[in-house]
Amino acid sequence: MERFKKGLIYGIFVLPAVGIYLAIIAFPIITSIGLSFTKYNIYRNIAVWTGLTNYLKIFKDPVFWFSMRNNFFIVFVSVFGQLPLAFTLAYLIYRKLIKRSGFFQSMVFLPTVISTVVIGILWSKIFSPIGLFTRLVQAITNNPCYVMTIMLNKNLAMVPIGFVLLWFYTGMYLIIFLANLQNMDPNIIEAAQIDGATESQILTRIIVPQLYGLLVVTMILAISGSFKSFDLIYAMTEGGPAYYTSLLSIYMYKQSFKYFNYGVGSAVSTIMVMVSIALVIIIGLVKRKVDIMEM
Amino acid sequence: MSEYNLRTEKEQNIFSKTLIYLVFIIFTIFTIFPLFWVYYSSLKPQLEIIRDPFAFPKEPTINNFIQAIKVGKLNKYVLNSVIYTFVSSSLVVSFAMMASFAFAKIKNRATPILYNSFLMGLLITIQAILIPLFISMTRMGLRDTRIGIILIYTAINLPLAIYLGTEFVKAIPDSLIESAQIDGASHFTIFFKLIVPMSTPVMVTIFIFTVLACWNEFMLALVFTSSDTARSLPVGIFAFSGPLATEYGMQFAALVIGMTPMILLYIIFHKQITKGFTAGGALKG
Repeated sequence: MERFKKGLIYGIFVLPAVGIYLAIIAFPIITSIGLSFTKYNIYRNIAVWTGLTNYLKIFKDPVFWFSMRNNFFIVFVSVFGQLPLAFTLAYLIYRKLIKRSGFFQSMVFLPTVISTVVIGILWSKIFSPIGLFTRLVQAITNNPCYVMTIMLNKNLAMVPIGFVLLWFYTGMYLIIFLANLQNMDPNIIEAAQIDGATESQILTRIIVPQLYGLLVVTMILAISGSFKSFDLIYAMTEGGPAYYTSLLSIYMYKQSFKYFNYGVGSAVSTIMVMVSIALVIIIGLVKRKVDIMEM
Repeated sequence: MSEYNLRTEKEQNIFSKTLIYLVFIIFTIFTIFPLFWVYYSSLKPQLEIIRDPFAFPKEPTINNFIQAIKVGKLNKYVLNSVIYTFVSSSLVVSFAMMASFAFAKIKNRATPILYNSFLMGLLITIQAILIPLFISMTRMGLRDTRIGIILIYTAINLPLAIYLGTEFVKAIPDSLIESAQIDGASHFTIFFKLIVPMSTPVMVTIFIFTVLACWNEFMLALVFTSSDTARSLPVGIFAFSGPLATEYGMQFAALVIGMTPMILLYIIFHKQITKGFTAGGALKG
């Protein structure tokens, strides 16, 4: 009886959270996979089994592959841009190689708290052919004919976006790296300094080995984050012109909510989930191996 | 010889110092200038913006803001966003603290499964649930309603909140709870009189972080709302600021309305916001 009562109390405490979570998150995930093998009509609520048709359709679509390419570009920017830059800045602040670090830290981080829509629209204004960037170059080079057209170029349209992503997300990783650096035992570094270690030795021999696990984990998180991104780029370009700045998430959104191909959309999201699950598994393996994840 | 070495070292030091400051200063300019530009442009009449996007306003006017409210109906969207933000954040804090208490302090075999499934939620892409959720919301008649959005925002913010809450409550000593139990306190009394007061710091962190997430959320609101009665501010701003829109003055005013509350929030609560991002920012991508 006592045990039953305790179980009941436990149930009362977890019920609101678990209930809402199951209904909104867990249940739809399972439905989504099933839906990807069907052609679904939302008005009549009829799903017709179509096997792998949706997947074959996607794999034949050049827009899908171009979106995939753009996603990998974002992965590239985050792994080889955001993370090294954020780590460098965090390290400089941590080692007190800069004064007024609190101010600079907020300046790098501030964009992160602003709505991605606001950020996207703001930068689209700057980079548009009649925008700030065009005027700035015109003023500097004294060439009134210059027009910013990189965003209209099929192969280069992602470059300004990469720049914005670098600017926007570096602050977030800076905060994560800095918190982990500050969690480290300061005595080790002091001892090394007394033994005459140089700044670069401290970095490569002491700090990087200790944060190795975190570096790997943030890298994987950055990759999975890159596959999720939607807001900023959609607000900036809506995936356009044409599909030059499309992403998997934008492709999925357009397929589902513009062309009403819910089955195709679900297939795209299933592919995205597969990638995330693979990454979750990798994170688990890395965590077990290194066992240092103090997030 | 040694003197010479010292000097080059010093010079090198100055060089690297300059470089370090330069990097931070460039970042600062890239942050300050665009924001500053939005603020002063929002005070410029349409014609001035087109003629010279750089110049400061010659005749500052708040007309853009009035237009944004009249034509863009931003007042409605702001109201919706305020409702979503505060109701969802309050629900997240309450539900998360209740569950955290149960996970951390009441022994039950279900805890590992439930707790881990919440942690998994941190890594699941929201796109994965978009279409089935759209279908079920449509069929339940919750699409394009305020309740629908509140439910969704509550659910997606629970995983991080429960992670933060559970880790915090775990650190509260068991002896405190045991002595309360000996005094005859029920679980509910313990929760409200002991756990909640002691957990204020983590509750503030969860609340602030959820406020930030709800106020800024875009994709779900874009998919799930279409009428003025349910649209949130980001969707409203996007609706008249798309890449092809030309009402520049109004757009700048809308951007100002969208970003100012969060900048103020950051200035006041930067510690809590930093904490939330440290724990789960990267996980949310």
